Amino acid sequence: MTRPSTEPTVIRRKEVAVAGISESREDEFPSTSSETAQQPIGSTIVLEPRHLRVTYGKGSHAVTAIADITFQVRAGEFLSIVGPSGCGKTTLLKSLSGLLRPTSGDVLVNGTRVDTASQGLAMVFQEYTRSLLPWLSVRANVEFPLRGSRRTDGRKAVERRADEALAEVGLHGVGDKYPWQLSGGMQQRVAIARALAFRPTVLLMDEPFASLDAQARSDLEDLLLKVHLETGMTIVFVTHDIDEAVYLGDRVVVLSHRPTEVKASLDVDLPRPRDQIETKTLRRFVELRTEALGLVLAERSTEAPA
Amino acid sequence: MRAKAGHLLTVLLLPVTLPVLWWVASSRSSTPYYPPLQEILRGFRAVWTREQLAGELVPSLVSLVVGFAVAVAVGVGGGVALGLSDRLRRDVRPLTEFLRAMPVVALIPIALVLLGPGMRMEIALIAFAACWPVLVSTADGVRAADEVMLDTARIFGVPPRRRLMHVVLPGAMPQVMAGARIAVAAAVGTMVVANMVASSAGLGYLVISAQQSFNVIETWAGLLMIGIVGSCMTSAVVLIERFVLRWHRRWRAQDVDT
Repeated sequence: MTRPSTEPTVIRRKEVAVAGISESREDEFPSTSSETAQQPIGSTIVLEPRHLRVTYGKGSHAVTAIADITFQVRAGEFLSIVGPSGCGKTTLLKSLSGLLRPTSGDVLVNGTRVDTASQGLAMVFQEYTRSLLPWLSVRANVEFPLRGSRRTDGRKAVERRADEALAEVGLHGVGDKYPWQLSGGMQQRVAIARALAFRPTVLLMDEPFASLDAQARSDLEDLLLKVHLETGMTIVFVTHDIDEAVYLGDRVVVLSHRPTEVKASLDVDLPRPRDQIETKTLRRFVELRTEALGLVLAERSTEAPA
Repeated sequence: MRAKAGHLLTVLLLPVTLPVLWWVASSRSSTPYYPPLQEILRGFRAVWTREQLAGELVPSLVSLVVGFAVAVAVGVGGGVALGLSDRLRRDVRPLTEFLRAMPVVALIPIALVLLGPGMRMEIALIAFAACWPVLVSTADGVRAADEVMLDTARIFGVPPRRRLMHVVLPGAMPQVMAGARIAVAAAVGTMVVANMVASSAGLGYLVISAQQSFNVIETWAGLLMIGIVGSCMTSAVVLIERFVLRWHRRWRAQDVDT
């Protein structure tokens, strides 16, 4: 089951069984992208870091966080990214979102080079308490990115989109509360709703469930799977939890330790919809997580001493 | 209910007991410099006639309110600029530290020369004295803007102006209001001093001219009015703060709980 760890292992994805769940919610939550919900992953590449390299500092103090990262994310794909601790996952996400200009290499969104942080992407951070604005109500938080933006037209449309997004994450009727009046899991739902209402080309998620308790965490994993299924949204999900990566993703990209490269890309050929108990007892699930875990652990042991 | 009554009692304890003590202690006083409170209150009503209110109180209040408003505008504007730019803050710091250290009283002679006596000078002095606390705390609040909130807004493509108005400024509001509260005291103090030294009208002028003509009752009555003006101004700022920061008190309380 072990693969050569020096170069990326790319396994062509097999068709994911999504045909059974079709067009149930399309009318309620129309997708912005050209493909409709529930379509199998398209061939269009929506996000592509190309030979991404990030170096902090200069001269002899320079630290290379990311050596060379290239991968492609297709429309509608759920891509999980895992790696050993401190491997520059956050740096990668910052580069993908345009917050951080890479030292060299490009990030392409829908084939166009990203140079600012407003390419129609959305991000859900781990620190929900710091990502939601505490002086705005839940509803106003969800509406915030839509207001004063060219992406939307009119107050009514903004309100409708916020309503739909809140309903999608199961938060009817809490719109008038402040985010900090809600539990951690609910706050992270608000952050997800805010991203959904924005209808991003790609939804980036930076260890979004890492600070939640186990119960809220598995609830939100399943909520995210439901949202992915119903909206057909493209999701890039960074996590340190390998079970979570395999359980959620269509594909798992394994990163090496610093300076970071793509070590492997595993296609997750598990049927959808997934189930916390059934999927996780499948032999294939166990194989995949063992493989991914092996790759990450191997990285940890070969890490150069600091 | 009992807790509430207890709370009310503590709140009223000093404001009620101190005047009562004063009343009792001074009631048999025969020294002219230390008249009974009863006489001061009678004098207060006699002094603060309608004409006196219009002639002495209103000009002071106008200077105070306008000066304070200018201070807040300058303090918030300057504080935002200093908070946003590390370079500007570093370069301007020696100057701001120098000006901050300057006692406003020392500026009165030069203010008289430059602006002449009157409301314009008073407003300028009040604004000068009151802008520093607002400036310094606004700069701190802006600097402490949460990076995650800002990154979130950047990724969503929120333009810089909107990020400033809707992320940075609301986040800095607790500090801005704290600065404004300190500024109230500075503004009231400066108003009184400016009145005393360089005016022919106003609260401070009334107190000092009463004292100079040995009218002790009127001196006390003026002092009482200054106290009332000061606490009203503070209460007004506190009320504004409660409205602007209605999210903040409960948010912080919640932080402590969890």
